[in-house]
Amino acid sequence: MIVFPYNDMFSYQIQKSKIKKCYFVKLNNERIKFTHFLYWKKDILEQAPLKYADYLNSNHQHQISIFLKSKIQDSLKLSFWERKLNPSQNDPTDWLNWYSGFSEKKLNKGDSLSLVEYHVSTVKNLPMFTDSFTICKSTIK
Amino acid sequence: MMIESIVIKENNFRKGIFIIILIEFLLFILSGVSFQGLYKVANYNFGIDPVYWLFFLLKIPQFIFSHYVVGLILDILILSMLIYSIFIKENKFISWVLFIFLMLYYVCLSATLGHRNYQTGFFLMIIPFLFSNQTNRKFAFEGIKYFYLFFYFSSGIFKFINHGINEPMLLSLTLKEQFIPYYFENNFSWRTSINSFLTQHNSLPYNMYCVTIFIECFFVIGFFTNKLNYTLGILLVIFHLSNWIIMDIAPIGQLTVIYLFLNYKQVSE
Repeated sequence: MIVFPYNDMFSYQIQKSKIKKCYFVKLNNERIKFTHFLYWKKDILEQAPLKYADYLNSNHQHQISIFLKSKIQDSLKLSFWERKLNPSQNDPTDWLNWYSGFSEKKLNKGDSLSLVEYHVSTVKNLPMFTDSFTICKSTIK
Repeated sequence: MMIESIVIKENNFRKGIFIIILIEFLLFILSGVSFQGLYKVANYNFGIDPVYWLFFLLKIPQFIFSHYVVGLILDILILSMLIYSIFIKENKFISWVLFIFLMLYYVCLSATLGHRNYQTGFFLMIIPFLFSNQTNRKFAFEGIKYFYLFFYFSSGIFKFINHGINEPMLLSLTLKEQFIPYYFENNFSWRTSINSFLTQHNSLPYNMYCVTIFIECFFVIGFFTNKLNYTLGILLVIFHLSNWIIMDIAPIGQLTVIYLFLNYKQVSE
């Protein structure tokens, strides 16, 4: 974007599947709300669970690592770029603690945090949950 | 007398841009996502863009994410430099530092967001002030204008190339997806009500999508004439305001771009 101003957002044909995956964080079994925050913070709190779930579902690989592996064959070069560009390994407990802190939630001993994947149906006028399962969880010690 | 009047106009134009950037940066701070707000970011993703890579190769964002004091100092420095540029005088060195710091902030914020962030106006608009020669500055403003003309025009063209225009349900479904968190939090504000209304009338979002394509394609006219810059500025206001209301995409980082188009006459002079 910085070097070339192409913009293809919202230009692709949509997926025919009526089920969309959404990710939310739960604190003591209640979804952490974020839509009341100002735009940027709301956006980060909305996107962060999606990106972290993506990382966990890709066998703890970041997007940049997957991209580098697809482009660089030489193992020495690959190791150099991965060392320089790849974020450090993210432990689920650390990530969940960061998320709750960023969403201004105070944590107490014994609180439970979890990252949950929801399946949302968009067939009807209003979106509806159809299924959900926990991706990772942790308890505050 | 005439030269004096041009200098005053140019000063007001420059001040206008820096005041908007100051407001934008204050909004970043208020939102809690300025440099200090990004402390201890646990997971970041950056796109396939060499500019991002350069900063991450130098380990600068990583250093900022792990040191609260560094983030705080950077926030204070940016605010001070903006205030200096508005109320005291323009300084080329300060403009350079400000440009680098704000571009670094854009890289840090986008990496934290983990998706493409088109709102580059708050740092790209400083580029003309890196030149003290008036001719060079004028060319820089022209360059910035063409950059954004292509940005908006390409958006319209891609909707044809990628067949978005052939998909009557595209905007309707996108609108539903954009507001999923609002529905699940029972946050039924007036914008959610508008979203609900639009998603129940599928033809309306499709017509809006077509109008958007027309507006975006209309930006091509800016390559050939300077006479319609104000009109393009008004179209940008309508486009971004609608985007915020129905798509929940607030154009905070693009306010300087709107200001540029609305006041381009002053650059031409």
